[in-house]
Amino acid sequence: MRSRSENQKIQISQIISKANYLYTRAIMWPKLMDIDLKMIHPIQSVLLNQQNQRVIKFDVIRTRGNLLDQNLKTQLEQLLTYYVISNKISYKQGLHEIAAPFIIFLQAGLEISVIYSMFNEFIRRYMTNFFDNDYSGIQSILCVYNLLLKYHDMELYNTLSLHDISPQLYAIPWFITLCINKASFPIAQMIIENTILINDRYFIFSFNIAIVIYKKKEILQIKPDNLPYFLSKIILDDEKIYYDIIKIALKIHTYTPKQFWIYLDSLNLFNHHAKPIFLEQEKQPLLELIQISPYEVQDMINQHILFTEKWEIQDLNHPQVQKIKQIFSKQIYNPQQPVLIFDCLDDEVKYKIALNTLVHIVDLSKQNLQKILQQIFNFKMTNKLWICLLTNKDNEHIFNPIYIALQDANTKYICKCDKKQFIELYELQI
Amino acid sequence: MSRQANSQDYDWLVKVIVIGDSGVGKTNILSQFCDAKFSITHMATLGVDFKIKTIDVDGKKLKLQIWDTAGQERFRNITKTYYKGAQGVILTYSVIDRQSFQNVDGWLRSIQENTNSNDVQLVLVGNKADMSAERQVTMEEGQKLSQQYNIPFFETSAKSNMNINESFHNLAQRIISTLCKMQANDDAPKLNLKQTEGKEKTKADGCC
Repeated sequence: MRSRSENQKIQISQIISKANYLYTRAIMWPKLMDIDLKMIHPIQSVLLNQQNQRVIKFDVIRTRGNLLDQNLKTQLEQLLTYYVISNKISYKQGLHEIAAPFIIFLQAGLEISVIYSMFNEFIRRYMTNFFDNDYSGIQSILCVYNLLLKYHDMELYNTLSLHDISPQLYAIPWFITLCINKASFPIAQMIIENTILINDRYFIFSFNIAIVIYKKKEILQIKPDNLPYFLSKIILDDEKIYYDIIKIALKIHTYTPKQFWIYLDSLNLFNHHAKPIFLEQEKQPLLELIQISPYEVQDMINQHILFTEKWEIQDLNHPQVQKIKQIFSKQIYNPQQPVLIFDCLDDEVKYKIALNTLVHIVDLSKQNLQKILQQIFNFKMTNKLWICLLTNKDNEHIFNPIYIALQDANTKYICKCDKKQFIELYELQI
Repeated sequence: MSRQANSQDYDWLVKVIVIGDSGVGKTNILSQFCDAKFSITHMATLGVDFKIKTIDVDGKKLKLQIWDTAGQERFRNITKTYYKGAQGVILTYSVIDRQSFQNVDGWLRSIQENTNSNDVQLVLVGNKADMSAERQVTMEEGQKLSQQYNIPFFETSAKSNMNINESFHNLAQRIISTLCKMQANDDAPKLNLKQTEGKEKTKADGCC
């Protein structure tokens, strides 16, 4: 007979595995994107009479082959048409690829208005200007990509340059669909989900560089004549490979000087009416474009402290709490190393910890367990996830499901410290 | 990019680009030619895709590196960069989409502006000829246009594999001829992209 904790463990494990599936996502995604579920969009009554409606119709037919049935495709055309009308743009190819992982939620019973709101919000956040009528930024984006590739892997950059393989030949769909059109449908949904969770629109640069670095061995060996063909045929259809690429991408993103991302911000690459910029990449090494902040070094040291130091939290004025606030302050913390704090403290205490930091407080009292587990599941690909559990000693049992989930997520217990309150620290191992 | 091979794989490596409006069937033409496959649910091409096929033309092995380009207007600026070094162009419209036929002029101008058109061989292809019930462009209109520009013309069907091989072989033969002449330091044959007011007839072997 199974013990209660074993049963609970199995139950949690099932929840985590189901997090991959449609119904869980149908609950998760609107919450993750703060979608107003009551918002109504008159999508069903939109007239299909856009100037390039023919292109919309044709793209819908060939979206995800037979995976979408006729009803879904009809709704997809309505949604895309409504989107271009609402945003006062003409239809651009690529939109259909982004919309497909959203339209599937009709099968989970989501309202088309909610689906539209998610799709619209996703593009607004992460692909702000990609589908603007006057968009001319793709060349600039490819230029930045090439610059970063040169910074992170000179050998690969030199090989591709030697054979005239510019990013224009292979990386355009990697950017304008965030690789979704190169991914199997399950991976396409993971891409959307991780984009939301990582919540950094520049992450796509690191991800795309990670793809070529993952394929480096083959790229260096293949006949130059066949390189364009090889690169254009790269697809993401294996979950393990996808997470391997994510891991590389997270490293790239972390080891790119933060000042470079700040520099990118100043270029307005992802904003409406962005003007094309041309970086003279051959002449200008990346490090000459930017100044390295002293925080770059400080961050690395702080991360080391996290690994080694025992936290003994007594109260909010305790030096360790101050350290949390310092390390994860908005000024110096690198959000690519996510922190989840599972918290059962009262509101006053928890907001004092989180004030002016990038600490992610998850409130168990609001019964967000599924969301928490989803986050654990999705951050499994990083080996730089810090999970802190804070509570009063009396409420420790509330964390039981979390312990089990952490074990299932292959975490290594680091330390547990406490008197009245305690923090447990886990290092996630891959 | 034409070059003669050092190995035995091929005699010539040539670059061919396929252009035309979105949805005219460019990817299916290539799939039929290279892989003997056809699908109405091919994904839209974003940017450029590639196919490779080695064919035998007049005893020469020609390795075709074929660039399947995106047709939509938004990619036009980038598509222009793909013309560099091309020796052959397959310009495609759909016989069931009049707009794509009317846009052929624009595509030809684009070739003129972005290539040394004297060294580039063209074929004009009117695809989807199997869909007679929905036809919006007659064969005569296609022929007339091809005569105006002195370009070989084929009506094709990627679905039924009609004239697909013929289009590519016609193009390949003329590319080889150009390459041989260039190699012999002869003048390359002149391709007249300017309208000839229908005075000259095309050599559309196999034209249907």
